[in-house]
Amino acid sequence: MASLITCPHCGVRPKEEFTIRGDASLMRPAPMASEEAWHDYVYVRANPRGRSFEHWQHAAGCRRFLVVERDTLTHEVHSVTDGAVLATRSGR
Amino acid sequence: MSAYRLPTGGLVDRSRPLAFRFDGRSMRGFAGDTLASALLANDQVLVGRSFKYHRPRGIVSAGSSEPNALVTIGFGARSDPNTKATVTELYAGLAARSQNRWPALSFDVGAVTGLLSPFLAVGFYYKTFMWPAAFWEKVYEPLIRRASGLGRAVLEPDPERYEKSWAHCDLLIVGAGPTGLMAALTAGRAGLRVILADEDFRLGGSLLSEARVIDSVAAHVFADRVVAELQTLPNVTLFPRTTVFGWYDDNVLGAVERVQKHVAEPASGTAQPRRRRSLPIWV
Amino acid sequence: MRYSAFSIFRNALSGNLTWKSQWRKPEPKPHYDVIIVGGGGHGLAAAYYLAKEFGIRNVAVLEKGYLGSGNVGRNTTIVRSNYMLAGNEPFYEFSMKLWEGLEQELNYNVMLSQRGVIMLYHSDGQRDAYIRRGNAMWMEGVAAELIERDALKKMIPFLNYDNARYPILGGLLQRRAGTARHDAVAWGYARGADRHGVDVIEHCEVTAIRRDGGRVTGVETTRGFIGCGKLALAAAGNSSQVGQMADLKLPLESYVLQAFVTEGLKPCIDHVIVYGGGHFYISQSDKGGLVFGGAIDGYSSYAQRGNLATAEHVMEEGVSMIPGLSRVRVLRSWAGIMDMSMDGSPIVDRTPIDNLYVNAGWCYGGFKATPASGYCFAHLIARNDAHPVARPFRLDRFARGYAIDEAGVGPQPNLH
Ligand SMILES: Cc1cc2nc3c(=O)[nH]c(=O)nc-3n(C[C@H](O)[C@H](O)[C@H](O)COP(=O)(O)OP(=O)(O)OC[C@H]3O[C@@H](n4cnc5c(N)ncnc54)[C@H](O)[C@@H]3O)c2cc1C
Repeated sequence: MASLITCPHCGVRPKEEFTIRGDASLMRPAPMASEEAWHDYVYVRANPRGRSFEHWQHAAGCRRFLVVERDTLTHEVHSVTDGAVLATRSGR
Repeated sequence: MSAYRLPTGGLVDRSRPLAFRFDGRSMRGFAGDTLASALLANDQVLVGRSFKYHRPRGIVSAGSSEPNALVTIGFGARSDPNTKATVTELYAGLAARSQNRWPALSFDVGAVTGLLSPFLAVGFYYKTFMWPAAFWEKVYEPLIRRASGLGRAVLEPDPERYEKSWAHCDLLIVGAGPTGLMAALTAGRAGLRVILADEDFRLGGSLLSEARVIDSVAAHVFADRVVAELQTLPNVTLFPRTTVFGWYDDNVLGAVERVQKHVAEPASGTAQPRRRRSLPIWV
Repeated sequence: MRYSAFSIFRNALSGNLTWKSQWRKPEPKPHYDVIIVGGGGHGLAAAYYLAKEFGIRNVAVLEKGYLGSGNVGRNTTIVRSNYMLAGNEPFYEFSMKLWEGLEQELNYNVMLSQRGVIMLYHSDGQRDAYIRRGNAMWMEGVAAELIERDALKKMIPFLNYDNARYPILGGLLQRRAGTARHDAVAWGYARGADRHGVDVIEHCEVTAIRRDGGRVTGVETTRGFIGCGKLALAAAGNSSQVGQMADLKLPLESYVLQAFVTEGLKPCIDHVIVYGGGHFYISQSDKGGLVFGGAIDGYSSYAQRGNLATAEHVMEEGVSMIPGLSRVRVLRSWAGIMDMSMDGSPIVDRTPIDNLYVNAGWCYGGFKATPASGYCFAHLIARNDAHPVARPFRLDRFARGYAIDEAGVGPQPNLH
């Protein structure tokens, strides 16, 4: 997890200010996508051992949803990006 | 005083005697004693009983690695079980009790288990206490529970207050022996924000028992001088009586400072009535 | 060697130098009928019951570390069957019954201590929820008692009854629940399995799963290739990693759970006490240490170590339940990797791959399940058919709409 998260808006903050909202590598299927696609989106996880992407909300700060790129084995944080910025950048 | 108390030497202040009690007996030590050194000075060599066979145990170390000299300090809701006599700072009115013995430290009925030791090899409990089946919980387990464990926790509401505060620094030094002191001095003079933590009440580590001379003064005097200089540096914070216990992600370290554990009753009404402070340190 | 009063006496006479090791250290054979990945409680129990109850003896358990290095040696040893949902309760009660006979079954003292587990309630709403749970237990034939405040005060006087935020109004007690000695469970099953011919192979990590069409043919390991007729996964926190070797994606996320033990104390806490105002539980080991834990560190992790914030939080909850705890010193803390599932309940099932079976998703509650999990997994492997009490634990239950969600929080693994 890291004890500290560098929020792109608020700077270095203790991890306790954030709320974890889960896997950020998942792409929400189209509303009418197959049941299987929705099942996989809601229930199935890659659960990586190593680099992962997660939504962290800076609940006790700017309240933005951030995407934290983090190593689940070493707890090292590689990058923190505002969720909206990332979504725009990746054309979501 | 006894054969163990030397007329001179050491770091005790012989002009400041302190009265304390051990198992109800009145004893005297000096300011600067640990409970362990004061017990020895009072000819109290037997200080505890071993965990399994209740064998008689004396003091074997001078620091926090002490396995034997574990005592309960205080009474009622202010009891602190399993406290190491070797790191307990003596204060006037300290009341210590030995543990894991009944009815008395010198005569402990539990010691009869020692006679069974040939049958109680490592891991024996997995191989036995199964016959008859119903006996484990009714007979064996209660017996084992009573025989094991050392001090007694009171579990009454704790009257004391504690606090938590954060500390921040560029350099954390754990241990104020010669290396730690000199590192703190060098980094402090260079302007770094330094925290120097040591679990002892007196900083100096091995310098405190070193017989050699440094810079033509006794080693402990040298330590005092370094500490005195460190105290003048605004960017250096000294944390005596502070145990650093864990190193977590991103260089956050957990520490516990015993703020007023070395007094019988913590001062009340002051800005600092707390007994203990938990201290996450960000480096 | 059978353990008896006689064997203890005889060994004592020879200075305890003649005890035989509890299980062999066999070299892997080229092929087994069944390979079980993971020498934790579940893998070892499955191997034991496969050999003893289902007559399949050509079995290997492959463990990447030493026996007990996973969660079976890291848990807080609570054993109970006080679940509410019909999908869970029969299974955990089956496990409880197996626990009750385990010492005699294994000829090994796993120190089952039925000292009672009490779950505290702090509001009328919580009391009603516990009454409902108690009734659900009775419907499965399991005794539960509601202990109200005055009676509870006599039973456990040192709790913080008048806490302003979480006053303690009573608790739901299962008297048959309690604790067991976790390491002994692993060792007892390993010894039992070994005596029935199972090869328990330590320091043997599975690194790949070899397949031929739709079937598994064997596993690559750090000690070479080993062929198998059937492959069974019981890798707990690493289940997703092992599953991935066969392109099996599971409804799991891995999290860290910490536990703590204090210095040894004379008997002072006689039950397992579970706080209802947060997530905290405590009991006293036979050695005297107070063993306690709380919620998981809320971020996914394979690090097998926790962080300070969670440790502080757990202890704050402990002190708000038992104020006197603040004077007791913690001796050690550690952590394990939890295979948190999407509904908080486990998976014991076949997979889309014909001869591959999976046992996972035990979250932080799989120790109590060890005997039944092993038994039911063995049943599944041997008969290709789920044991009745484990039938709800299907891999496809989310797709079919049969999630078993005790906490009622939905597919948020870190909240179960
Ligand atoms: C702190 C803590 C407290 C808990 N408290 C309780 C409790 O009070 N009550 C309760 O019921 N449950 C509790 N649990 C949960 C319980 O311990 C687990 O659910 C249960 O032990 C999991 O099953 P297991 O014993 O088979 O797992 P493990 O012992 O983890 O076994 C899995 C094994 O698989 C091995 N493995 C993984 N990958 C490979 C590979 N590639 N090749 C070979 N081997 C591999 C691992 O090394 C490991 O030994 C707790 C867990 C923790 C961590």
